Parts: sequence; structure tokens; C-alpha cells
Amino acid sequence: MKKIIILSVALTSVMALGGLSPDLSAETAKANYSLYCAQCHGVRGNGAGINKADMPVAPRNHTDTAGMARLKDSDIYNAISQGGAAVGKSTLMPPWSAIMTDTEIKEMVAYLRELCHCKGE
Amino acid sequence: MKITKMGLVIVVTLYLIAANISEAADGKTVIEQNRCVSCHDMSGNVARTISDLLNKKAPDLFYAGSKFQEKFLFEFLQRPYPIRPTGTVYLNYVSAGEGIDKIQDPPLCASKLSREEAQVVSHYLMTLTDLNMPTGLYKRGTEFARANAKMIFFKSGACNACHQVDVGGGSIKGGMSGPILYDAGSRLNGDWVFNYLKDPQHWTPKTWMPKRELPDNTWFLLTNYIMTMEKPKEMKMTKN
Ligand code: HEC
Ligand code: HEC
Ligand code: HEC
Repeated sequence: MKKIIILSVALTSVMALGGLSPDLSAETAKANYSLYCAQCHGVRGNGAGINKADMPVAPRNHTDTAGMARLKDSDIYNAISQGGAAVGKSTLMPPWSAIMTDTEIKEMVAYLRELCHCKGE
Repeated sequence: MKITKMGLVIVVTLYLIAANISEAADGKTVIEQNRCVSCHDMSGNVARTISDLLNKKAPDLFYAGSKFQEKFLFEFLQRPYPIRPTGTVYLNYVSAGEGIDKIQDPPLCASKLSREEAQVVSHYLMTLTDLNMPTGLYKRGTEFARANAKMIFFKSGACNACHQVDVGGGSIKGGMSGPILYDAGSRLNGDWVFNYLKDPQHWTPKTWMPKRELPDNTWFLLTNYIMTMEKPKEMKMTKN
């Protein structure tokens, strides 16, 4: 009985091992945006994401030139890295530092500047 | 007399072991016949890049035994219902829309197993586990600070931004990009929920669920809360 259990346990562990050790390479800001951000900020970045309907605070429109120009690059960086709460905004904006590297977040800030056709202070 | 009794016990035990093994083997055969692997990965090939992710037709099942309750599998495999409102990989089902993006109706699971088939397949799926996952943590019926858990779920952790839950009286509300959670208590394994919340990317490296760094007792509180969620008898859905 024990032997059979051990054997089947060993087999299932071999099956499971294949998948569970993240070893990932960096993605482009555009790809990261479409995966992580578009669900709330919209596939065009205009704040029209599919999660928006039931959200009490609307996701920011990243294509709004005047609105985005008022944000400093460092504020954008902190909002992405630590989430909305860290910059005095809504907790609906999640933190991403556990998933994206420092470089990926910096590239994301640059990508948002492309979306808004604007520069920060 | 004693000897024959013992002999009987041994025979019965051997029979039960054999039945168990052959049931799992039958389950494998049914899975092959129904081509489940044409949609589902069962061998651990997770998506490691976003472009790999876009090719996933259905959720990975190679740790189904850690993730699910057997009773759920048994029923779902006979009568699948929608779990992910925007499909397995939401990006494949959304497009730009006026005011709010459009969602194209995602497909259901194609499984239409008979009762007997569902029995052996769910049994087999329960053998696909992640042995490194700590277990024995969650106990149904444990007291927990419900008000506190709700505060985290709906406010500081904003879990409802992406997940649909019953906000009272069968009224279903919440975001569309994550799996429904209003049935979580009868679908998921509590130990898995705890381990998943701590590190979603461990299970699905390219999942779009954010990873928050919170202490274990907060995750445990949320696990207890999520595991009390049951599908309401009557549902009032809000439609986008
Ligand atoms: C769960 C929904 C959600 C997701 C996913 C999300 N955001 Fe947000 N985001 C929001 C909301 C809501 C706000 C508005 C917060 C407010 O105004 O208080 C916001 C605001 C922002 C802001 C403006 C912060 C400020 O100071 O006004 C930036 C920049 C931003 N998000 C970037 C991103 C990026 C980049 C991603 C993807 C890596 C992302 N967001 C993913 C919901 C989300
Ligand atoms: C044509 C593709 C297809 C086939 C074939 C198929 N499924 Fe599915 N299955 C799906 C999709 C898509 C989903 C996700 C549905 C959802 O989230 O609403 C799914 C969901 C599931 C789930 C729930 C997984 C989770 O993580 O939520 C299980 C279990 C499952 N399928 C088992 C099976 C089994 C067993 C078979 C074979 C008998 C099978 N499926 C055949 C497409 C398929
Ligand atoms: C930005 C969207 C988003 C937010 C915010 C979010 N999730 Fe998720 N969640 C997801 C996605 C996407 C998945 C997994 C989809 C997949 O891999 O199939 C998921 C999966 C889950 C699962 C497993 C469900 C299943 O059936 O596979 C649980 C449990 C869960 N989330 C709980 C939470 C909790 C608790 C919070 C708050 C701390 C939270 N989520 C916040 C998007 C989100």
C-alpha cells in the first residue's frame, strides 16, 4: 500500500515539476501594457478597460495629453511600482513591482509618454 | 478463523488498491478519447512569454488535484459553466469600444462527460498535484474576522476590481478580467487558494493578476473569506 502511494506520489511530482519555476525574460513595454494594464486602462489606453463598469474610481485615461502632462515621471514610476495608494490615489490601481523589473517599469513610463504625446516635469 | 479473516482483509485491500489504480487509468483513457489535451496542458508547459500565453486555449490542468475539489470536477465535467467572463486569456476576447472595451463571448469548456466518465476523470485529475505545495493549512468552519477580510477584499486590496462576487442577496458585481469567485467555496481547495494568493505567478508566470506583498495572516484571512463564497440560488447579474 505504502509503496504504491509513494510511487504515485513520485510520478505526480515529476509531472508537476516541469511548470513551476519561473525563469522569465523581459517583455517590451507595449506587450506588458497590453497584458497588465489594458484590463483596466483599455486596449487603446483611453481608460475604457473591461473592468471599468463596476469601479468607483475610473482608471486614468493615458491618452489625455493635458492630464498626463501634470504628472511627474517619478510619480508615474511610483504609481506603477507601489500602486495608487503610494501616490495618494485609489487602491484600485495595483502595485506591479513584484512582477515587473525596475527597467521594465522605466520603459513603461516612457511608453505612457508616447501614449499621451506629452512630457512630464 | 483468525487467518481467514486476515486473508479476507488482504484480498479486499488488494482489490481496493487495484480498483483505485484502474479507475485512474480509465480516467486517463477517457481524457485521451475526449482530446482534453487539444485544449488543456496536463504536462507542465506553462506560458513563459506573453506570446506563448496568447496561444493558450484553456487553463492548465497539470496541478488540478491541488487546485480543485473533486466534487466540483465531477459536476463541471458533465455540465461546464462559465468561470472566466472574458475567456481563458482575456486579450483574445477584447477589442476597443466606445466608452468601454467590447468583450466577445468566450467559449465554454467542451467537456460533456457522462456520470461514469466524469467520475473516473475527476478521480484521475485529483492525482495531478504539486507536491511542493504546503497543505493542511485551511480548515473549513474556522472563525475569522469577516469585516476585516471584506475591508481588504473590497478596499485596500481591491480584489473586486477584477473578480465577480455576490455583494448581497445574489447581486453579482465586480470586474471581468479574472475568474468568478462567487462559487469559490465549492470549487477551489482552500490550501491552494492560500498558496495562490501569496504568489499567483508561481502557478501562472504570465497571469495578469497583480502580486501584492502582504503577510501570511492577511492571505489566510482572505482565504477563509473566499472559501465561504457559494453560488447564490438566484443571481442578479449586472451587464456591461
Ligand atoms: C485593476 C485596475 C487597474 C490596473 C490593472 C491598472 N490600473 Fe492604473 N489605475 C487604475 C485606476 C482606478 C487609476 C486611477 C486612480 C485614481 O485616480 O485615484 C489608475 C491610475 C494610474 C496612473 C495614474 C496615477 C496618478 O498619479 O494619477 C498610472 C500612471 C497608471 N494607472 C498606470 C498603470 C499601468 C502602467 C498599469 C499596468 C502595469 C496599470 N495602471 C494597471 C486602475 C488600474
Ligand atoms: C475545445 C477546447 C476544450 C476541450 C476539448 C476541453 N476543454 Fe476544459 N476548458 C476549456 C476552456 C476554454 C475552459 C475555461 C472555461 C472558463 O473559464 O469558463 C475549460 C475549463 C476546464 C476546467 C476548469 C479549469 C480551471 O482552471 O478553471 C476543467 C477542470 C476542464 N476544463 C477539464 C476538461 C476535461 C477533463 C476535458 C476533456 C474531457 C476538457 N476540459 C476538454 C476548453 C476545453
Ligand atoms: C487586475 C486584476 C486582478 C486583481 C486586482 C485581482 N485578481 Fe485574482 N485573478 C486575476 C486573474 C487574471 C486570475 C487568474 C486567471 C487565470 O490564470 O486563469 C486570478 C485568479 C485568482 C484566484 C484563483 C481563481 C481561479 O479560479 O483560478 C483567486 C482565489 C484570486 N484571484 C483572488 C484574488 C484576491 C483575493 C485578490 C485581491 C487581493 C485578487 N484576486 C485581485 C485577476 C485579478
